[in-house]
Amino acid sequence: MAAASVPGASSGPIAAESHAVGHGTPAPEQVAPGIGSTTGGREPGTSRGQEVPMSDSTAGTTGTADTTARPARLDAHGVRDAGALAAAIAPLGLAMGVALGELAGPHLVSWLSAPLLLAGASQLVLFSQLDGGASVLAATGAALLVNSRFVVYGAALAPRFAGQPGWFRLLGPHYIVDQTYGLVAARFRDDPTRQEFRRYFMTASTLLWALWTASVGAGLLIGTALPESLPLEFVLSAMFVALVVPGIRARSEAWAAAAGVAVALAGAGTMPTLLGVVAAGGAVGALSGRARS
Amino acid sequence: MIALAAVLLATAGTFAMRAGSVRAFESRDLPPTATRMLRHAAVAIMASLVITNLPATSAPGGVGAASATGLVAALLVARRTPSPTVVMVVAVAVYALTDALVG
Repeated sequence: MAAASVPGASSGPIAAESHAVGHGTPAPEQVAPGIGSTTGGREPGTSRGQEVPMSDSTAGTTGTADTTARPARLDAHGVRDAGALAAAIAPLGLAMGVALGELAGPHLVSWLSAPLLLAGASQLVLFSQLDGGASVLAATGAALLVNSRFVVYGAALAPRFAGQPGWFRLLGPHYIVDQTYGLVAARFRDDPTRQEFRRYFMTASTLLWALWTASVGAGLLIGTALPESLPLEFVLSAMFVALVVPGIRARSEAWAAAAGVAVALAGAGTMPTLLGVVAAGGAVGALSGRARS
Repeated sequence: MIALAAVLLATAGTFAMRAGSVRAFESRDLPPTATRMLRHAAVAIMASLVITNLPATSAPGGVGAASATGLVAALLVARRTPSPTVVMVVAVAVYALTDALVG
């Protein structure tokens, strides 16, 4: 299978169902209480296993770090949201596995790229480059260019990582992909506690990570036995619509989405296009602030 | 070994980008304008992925009839239900149907 024909060629691997909690009436133009908020989120104080409510004023980015929390419990919303995305992730992972299997590189290494890189587009770019005879540095550079959008997601999610336990601050960023960002954006309309965010993020992203890893592996094993008549090429676009639209809360966000679509239509998925999308979205955000003030 | 080295290098670089951006901004109270710009840039990126992941057409930058119909269906359904599964199933069905009819 040609690399260009693989669905999901320019996206991360995984994504979301918004919950009832995340679909309340939005306050127009409010500074995002979830993503992008400059507050780190509320966190119930923990004292010898007993949770004590902590006021917002003391639980921001300068609040007491939660270093005693345990990562064991699953979040029901996270399970439900990850499950809702399985219909898209599993077939995409299969197709990705088939595509990787036809490119250069041992199957074991191709499979390893799924849990390690956790970014479908860059996995494909990396192995396509190697298959075309590119050097390790050139192939890596191309893959990193594709993944550079994660910097924006990471910066937007950063306040949510402040004050979190060390294991989460170390492990959590690995799961930042398009779909997990979209999930969190749609899920948290109000200011979640640190624990709420952590449990939701880790539950959903770990499940999606496991599903992506398993489905890519299955694709490598199944190979070309996957029917070509399946309309997989449209699944990813549909998935991003399902992620973006419910997360739009303000008119300015709709304008930002429109700007991103316009720039993408004008470009060809290149790095300048990505920069253009970021610039256009950022400009809309800045202008919306001026209009409000 | 070359492929493994490339995977490990790309993994390290990608993690550095993800974790680096989190570390750089997690303890900083950004100005409201910067916060808004970040939030809107992220929305724009995700929206652009809808387009960049569309099936290729013969015309550069063009959107095929099946894709356009599927996108409209996805938008309409997504406005009415928060379930991505429903959105995807309806959109892909409309896309496949249009593709079969129009070609």
